[in-house]
Amino acid sequence: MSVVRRTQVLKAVAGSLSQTIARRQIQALPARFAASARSFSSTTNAYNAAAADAPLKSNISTTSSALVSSTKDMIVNGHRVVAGAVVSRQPLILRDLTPFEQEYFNYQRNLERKNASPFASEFYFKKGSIAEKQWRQVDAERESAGLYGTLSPASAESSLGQDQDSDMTEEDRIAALEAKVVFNDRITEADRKKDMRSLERALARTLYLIVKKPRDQHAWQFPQGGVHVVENLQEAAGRELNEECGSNMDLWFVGRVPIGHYAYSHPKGTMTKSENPTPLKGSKVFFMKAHIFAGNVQIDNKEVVDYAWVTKDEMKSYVTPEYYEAVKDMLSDQ
Amino acid sequence: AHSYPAGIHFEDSTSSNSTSISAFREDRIPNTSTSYNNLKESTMSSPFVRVALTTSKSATLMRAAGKKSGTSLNGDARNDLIKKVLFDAPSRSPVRLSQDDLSRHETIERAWKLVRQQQKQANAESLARKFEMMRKANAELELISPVLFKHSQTKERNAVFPRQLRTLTDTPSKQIWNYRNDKSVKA
Repeated sequence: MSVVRRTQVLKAVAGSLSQTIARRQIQALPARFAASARSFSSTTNAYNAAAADAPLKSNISTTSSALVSSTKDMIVNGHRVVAGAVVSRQPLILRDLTPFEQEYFNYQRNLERKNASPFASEFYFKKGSIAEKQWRQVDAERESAGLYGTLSPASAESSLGQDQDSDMTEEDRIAALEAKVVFNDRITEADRKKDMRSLERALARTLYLIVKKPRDQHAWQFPQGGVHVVENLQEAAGRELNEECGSNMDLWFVGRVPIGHYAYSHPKGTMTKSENPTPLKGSKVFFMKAHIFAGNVQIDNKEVVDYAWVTKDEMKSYVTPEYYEAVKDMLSDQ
Repeated sequence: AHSYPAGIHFEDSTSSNSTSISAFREDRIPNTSTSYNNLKESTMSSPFVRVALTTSKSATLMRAAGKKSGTSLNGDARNDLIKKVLFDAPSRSPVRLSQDDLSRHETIERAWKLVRQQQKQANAESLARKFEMMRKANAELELISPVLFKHSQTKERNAVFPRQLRTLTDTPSKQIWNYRNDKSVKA
């Protein structure tokens, strides 16, 4: 067999082999992965784009449908069944360190430095290279920032005399400035302005949505509304949020299980509905938990006149004391 | 100058390192600066003074490596340098703390453990309170409406976490929040 023919045969064999291997690998994925891939909210195109830009498909499971739906309120034993929504914006940055934690981490860092072997910079950086210059700069910055612990007078003099390199050119200086990493501020504009409607406030804390109804007492509360007859709790909460707070929010409901409940009786004269023959005794609210990932509230000033994104302790100054006592255990401290 | 017989020398050097007699190490390396020794003795009192010895030690390492070109593998001085940095580089002796400093260190460690324990306890308690709220709500729902209760206890098939759940960072990104549309929120 000639050399040319042998290579041709080998190429053909290699081609067919690689194809079969690839196909086998694809078929090896079990069926359940394919099923779960379908329930992902974003398409394959969006996967390439940033995850934050992909619109979140709602994960509300619907009991009612086009054929079976109702607008009649669900009332059980004279109590109206109400679905409330605890919409939270999770923290975006790590929490602030306590003073003790800061001191302890500094202590440990100094101890580590003291115990560590000396860094042989002349081994890792070639003498006179740009990398070596950059390292010396970084080292000097860290030293002046105090990361290496306080120096005794003798060693302080020796270290100060070292890095006076005037041989760094203007281009190197500019390059060093451009390469420098600048971090964004943890305290945002919204923090300074104390804008309670902003979602960029208090980045290290969990923010909860509360809305204001146009009445004097019990004005501030979590968004809530009556569950209709054919609906489930998740659906009702989603619908109420849509009605009261607009549809410009990317929400994700955390499961179907209510996280808490609050029963209250109506003061005389408020709940007068002509449809039901028996007077209502009160309402029972079941809270559903949801996360907001994008967008913000848009109110129409009819049902809801104001809204705020508050932390757990800030909520105390908005809602009534009995309401706060009833709901505080559902909420995160941090 | 000492030679590195292949294989055997490595075992010797690692066993010597475990005893960590730094004085013995420095005898082997030529041109040990005496100023380094003086510095070390004077700073033993404070545990957190960093002894600036990187440049002097590295320079001696380089000089020592340069002398061994004849005895090394394939005449490559870089192998000798690597061996020297890995096995012969003088590691600092562990921090010697006085009795007072040691008790201070132990107190700090105990305080840290105590604080961590308290934090974990607080987290566990808050989680327990949340669970209790959830349990009571579901018990109430079961009494009120069997249909709603059944739906709440049925888990969603093929449920996945949303991709938008972010990991926490030290500082925020340039675009902190995505507001979805251009209409600014008014009133």
